[in-house]
Amino acid sequence: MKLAPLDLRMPASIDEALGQLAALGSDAQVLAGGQSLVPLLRYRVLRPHVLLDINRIAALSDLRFDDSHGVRIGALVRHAALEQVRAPSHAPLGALLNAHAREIAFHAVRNRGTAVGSIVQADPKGDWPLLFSALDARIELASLRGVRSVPVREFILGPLLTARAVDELATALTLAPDEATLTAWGRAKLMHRAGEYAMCSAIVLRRSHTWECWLGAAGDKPCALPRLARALAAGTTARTPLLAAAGDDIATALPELDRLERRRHAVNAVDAAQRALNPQAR
Amino acid sequence: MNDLPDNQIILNGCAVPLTGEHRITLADFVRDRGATSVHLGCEHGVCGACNVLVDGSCTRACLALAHGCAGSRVTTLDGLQDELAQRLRAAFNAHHALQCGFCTPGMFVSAYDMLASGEPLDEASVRERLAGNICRCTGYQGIVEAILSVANPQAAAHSHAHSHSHSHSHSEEARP
Repeated sequence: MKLAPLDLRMPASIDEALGQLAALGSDAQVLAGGQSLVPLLRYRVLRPHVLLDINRIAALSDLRFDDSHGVRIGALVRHAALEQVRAPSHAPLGALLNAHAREIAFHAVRNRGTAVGSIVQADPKGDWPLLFSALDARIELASLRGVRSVPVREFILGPLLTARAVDELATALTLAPDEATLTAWGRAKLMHRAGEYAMCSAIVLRRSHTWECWLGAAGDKPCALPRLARALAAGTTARTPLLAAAGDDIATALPELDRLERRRHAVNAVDAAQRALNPQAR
Repeated sequence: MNDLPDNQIILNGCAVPLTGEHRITLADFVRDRGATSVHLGCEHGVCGACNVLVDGSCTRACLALAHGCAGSRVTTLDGLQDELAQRLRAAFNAHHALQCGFCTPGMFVSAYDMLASGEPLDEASVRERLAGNICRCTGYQGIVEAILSVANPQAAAHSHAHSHSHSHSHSEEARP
């Protein structure tokens, strides 16, 4: 289907964009990469009167890795930029971003789609909502009322639902220096075909003695696997007890899954854990 | 973005004024201006038949708005005329890399883009890069061979000769 009639505006600065958002409220939709938004406009799931194209706002393109200030990923940083970024000061995180971005959709989609847009889209099968929830990143939201920074874990409320107010523009994802420092990581994404949405997706992160295990592509939003993290922190490396811990986590967080789905997600999560334990196997 | 005027795009080297409704996608816009090699298959970013280069970057033309590309250089299959494109055309011909031809413009733009990137290509990486282009005739084998023959001319010539002698011996065996 073709898009419904709309008015395309291309603000040149963040202030101009915020003024328009404040004036238009829910009549406006922000367009960054458009790789998820334009299909929704085509299906006419969304019918905004105004499309606010932020691609001319140069200030939203910054991608910074800084020892003292942490990481900042601006709203116009494409998946392709994260696929290629080199971050000598944060080598494990850089390699994780590279590997994660490389498995998102297709090359042509990665050239335009953005990480911040993916968080605002909040698709339960989205790749960045899972990773940035696991990393405990924050999303920066600007409006004429001011700027606030919200943990991604709290920002995503459910499928395509976020805590963004209608006058707010998501300007960046940020990671504090402690969150950006990883000792090891593992990830596992199961797809029917390269580039498709995940059937199962899991992230396991290690920061010296603490572990974070997160599951995506199941339920309404990414969810934590605390028993699996505790088992890893206690030094468990054998597959059977890790599978039991992950299975218990999934049964608690997602009781609606049947045994086969639970098993599939648990095996995938333990694959991610074993890649974190043994980076050579990655 | 760049220094071109904001009320036009450069379509295959020619300035085209941006007119019409804001809701028009880049794919519909360039087709209406004669670049009908840009094919519309799924119109929601899955099939890759509408792939074009926007400022040199491979892009789904069905997911970009024409007015949002103001000031950009847009290159479709028709605009790819350099030496690499000519070699790729010859390879598509030699390896029978098209059947009905519907996916071919998008396949060609993707193939050109991966070859022009200069990244080392093997069969696995070519297949992965082509995952974003769907061929409804399922004729991927010839397309992959065509791209590999341009990426690694010597290796391809060798394996081509090899597969020929192979199929020859098979047909000999099959003879009653």
